[in-house]
Amino acid sequence: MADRRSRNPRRAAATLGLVLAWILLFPPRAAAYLDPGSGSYILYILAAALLGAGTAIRMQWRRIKSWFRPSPKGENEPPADE
Amino acid sequence: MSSASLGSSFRDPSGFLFTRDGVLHRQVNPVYREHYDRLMTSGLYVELTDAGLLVRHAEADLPPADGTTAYRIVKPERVPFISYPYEWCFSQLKDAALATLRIQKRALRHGMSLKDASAYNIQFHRGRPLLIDTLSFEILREGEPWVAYRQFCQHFLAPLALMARRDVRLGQLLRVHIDGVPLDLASELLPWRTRLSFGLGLHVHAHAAMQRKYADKPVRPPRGRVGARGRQGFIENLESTVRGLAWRPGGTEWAEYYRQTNYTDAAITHKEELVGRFLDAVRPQVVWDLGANTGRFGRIAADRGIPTVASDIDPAAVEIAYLEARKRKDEHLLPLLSDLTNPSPAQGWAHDERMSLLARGPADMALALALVHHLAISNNVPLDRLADFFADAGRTLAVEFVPKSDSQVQRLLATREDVFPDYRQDAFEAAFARRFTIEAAERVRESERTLYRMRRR
Repeated sequence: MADRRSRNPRRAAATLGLVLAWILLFPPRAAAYLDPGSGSYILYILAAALLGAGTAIRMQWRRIKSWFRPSPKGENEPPADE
Repeated sequence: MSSASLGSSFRDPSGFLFTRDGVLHRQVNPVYREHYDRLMTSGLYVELTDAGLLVRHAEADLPPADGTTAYRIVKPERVPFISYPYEWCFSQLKDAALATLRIQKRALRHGMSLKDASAYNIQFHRGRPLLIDTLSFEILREGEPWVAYRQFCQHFLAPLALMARRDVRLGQLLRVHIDGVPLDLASELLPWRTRLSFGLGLHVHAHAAMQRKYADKPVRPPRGRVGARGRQGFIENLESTVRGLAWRPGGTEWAEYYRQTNYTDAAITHKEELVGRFLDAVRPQVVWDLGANTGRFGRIAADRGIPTVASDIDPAAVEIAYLEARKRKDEHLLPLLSDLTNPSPAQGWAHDERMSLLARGPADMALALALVHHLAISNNVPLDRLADFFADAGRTLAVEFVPKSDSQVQRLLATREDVFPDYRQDAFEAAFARRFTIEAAERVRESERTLYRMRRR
């Protein structure tokens, strides 16, 4: 146990180093012909994390609710987007 | 075979539009091969075209445009009239925004994404918004933000928010800002309370602040940050923000017009009958109803299956016309916002990206009903200049002359000096005879008005 704990910070530092190296070596592909804009890019990442969590909570909540409710007709249809 | 590329189609290296012997084609460049194949084989193309969201095309066995190499040449279905976002009413822009998001949601389900979200890629075809750029898709870049997010906000969300929350006339900012309304400008113009709305607070105000903070700073966000749930939550939030914006027409002078006219029921029925007769005599393929108000007379052409553009200066009238056409599932009437005293110019790069109104014509028949007195008296346009403009707009013309004695003209003169000694029926006929042959003239029953059918010389 003690051994594993002492190795963890080193492993985390190595992982972080690898991630940073990855970012530096492989920046986002420049194939997009539109400039997405740095501010828009960062805002999207932050907001997507928040809104994604919201979606996850909603989905869980729906699942919990479905335990107490008989499944409605057409449940297996693809989600409507209209 | 002569080919010419379109002035509006040069930004995206994936391909471009060109005409060959007058027929519109789209070239798919070799660099786009992988993405095009994915669109066609993943089921996305079929799903979107079946849903009426993406323009259909046929692959054509043709050589590439002059001096280029191509992966494919496709021939898209032709849209009869190209309109621009600054010519749309509020609900048209909103429907175009929602169609763009619907397309993006379906693309994500097929492992693709929109690489642009330009409002100019949407056209109204058969009464519904349609994506006309087949090359707008790319294979989804896992983990990366939506590259077209900023463009979506500038082209759709910001102008919609300004129209709904500040003033509907701010939609005209799209005419000045060809790549959409800058978000810092939208943020400044929107009422302060919109900061408290989650969607507008995030996508307009915080977005503008982030753009300011990171302006000209190259940022390399790590990959793998945005997962499927994040993408889904994001797009749903954008969608609910757009859906939450509403504008109701009312209170403007023109939207109330038909309730304020001096027509008797017999006069308006007779006028409708005359318009129908004129249409049947000319049998036009395309009609422009200029100064259409809520599209009452343009609908007579649309009901005959003729693609009809019904333009008016009043955003409320155009909104009513569009909502009515949408309710009736009218496939042929296209209501548009147009100020004839300052019609849409040719603009964009080299004046060649967006066409002027007249460059999109002429129509086979122009309707100018209860319009001449407004242009001649309220806007001081001499009758011969009016005749010149209508001759550029339509090969044939149905035009109404309303004399000074008519109470509607009296209303226009009530607040100003009458400096229009030439505004008389004989002078009108002489001015128009210079450019047109007058083929029919009919007095509208129970009125002092005359309806003319003319053919351009």
